[in-house]
Amino acid sequence: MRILFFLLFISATLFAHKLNLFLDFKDEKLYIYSYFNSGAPCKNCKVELLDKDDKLVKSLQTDENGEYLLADYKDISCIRVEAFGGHATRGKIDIQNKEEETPITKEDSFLESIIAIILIILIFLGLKRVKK
Amino acid sequence: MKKLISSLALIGATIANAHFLTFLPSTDNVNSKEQSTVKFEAMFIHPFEQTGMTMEKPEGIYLENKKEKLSLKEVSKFEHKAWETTYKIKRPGVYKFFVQPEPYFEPAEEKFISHVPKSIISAYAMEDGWDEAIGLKYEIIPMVKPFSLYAGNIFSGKVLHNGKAASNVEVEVELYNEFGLKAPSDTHITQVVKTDENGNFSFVMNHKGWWGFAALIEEGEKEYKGKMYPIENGALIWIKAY
Repeated sequence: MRILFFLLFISATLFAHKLNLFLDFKDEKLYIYSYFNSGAPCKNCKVELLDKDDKLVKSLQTDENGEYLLADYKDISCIRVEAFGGHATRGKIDIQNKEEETPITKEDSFLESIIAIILIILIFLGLKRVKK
Repeated sequence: MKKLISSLALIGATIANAHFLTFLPSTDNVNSKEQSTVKFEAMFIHPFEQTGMTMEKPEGIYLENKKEKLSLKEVSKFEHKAWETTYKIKRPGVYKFFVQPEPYFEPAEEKFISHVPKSIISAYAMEDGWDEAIGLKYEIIPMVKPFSLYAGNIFSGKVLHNGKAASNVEVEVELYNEFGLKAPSDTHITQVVKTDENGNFSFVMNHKGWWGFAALIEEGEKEYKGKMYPIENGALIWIKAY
């Protein structure tokens, strides 16, 4: 009876919190974040990378914040996260919804430098003429 | 003559009923990227009767304690000036938004009205922190999870004034009646409950839709045309029943 009560208590605790998975793209990497409804991260939880046939490609672990940044995800279709005690969740990688990151526009510093030098020379010549 | 009398009666009833600063998001639960750009409408209206009033440009619509000020776009709601904004939610979390309006002078009631409504959104199933105050001077803290209620559920809240429980405060309640419901009498349009000694109140939302709760605290004075008038401060919260 005690064992049954203990098992019931354990199972009730297991279902008290739902495990969630949030997938996004960050700096060209796949951002994996797993957390409970309460806001607690799924720390050091098993992350399984599955291909389009649902076959396991690789296993990883979330960090202390429940996060993982995955650089190579081109053969991965689905992510499965498992917490201690059997809590698990999964999510599909939605490449379609990948937002285009704003390209970092580099200023053409070489062209700017040339224009600046020309301007300085012109000002110098102008001042010389005024002095004469 | 009959038409005139009924028109006057209707105008009278409209003035008599409560005006709410209505602040409605397009959803209170963001569960996908498609829903992640939340649209907000801020309007000064009679929610049950679905009649509008002019809302002058607010000081701002903010995320959490003025962490971020959202851009405002003037729109027309119920044939009156209202305001709209959007916010893109990028990460899981509980997001609290509020409107800080400019106090409005109500000549019929001879007082200024300053209602600050807030709206709480859960993104990607995160539920942490819905019962925490933003830190507004007048604020309603939900005592039940605010973004997962059904019609028929009780909504309980705590009214805070300067962070302390406000007892014996009237809380006006109205449904955003987009369903064309008819009230049996004018007194049924605005429901009223009062806070207990701990600032708590409860109300059963008997219909689906958005419900506005306005805790009204008269405090302070403001000058209008050389005369001082009291300010009716409102702590508002908008809750959706499914």
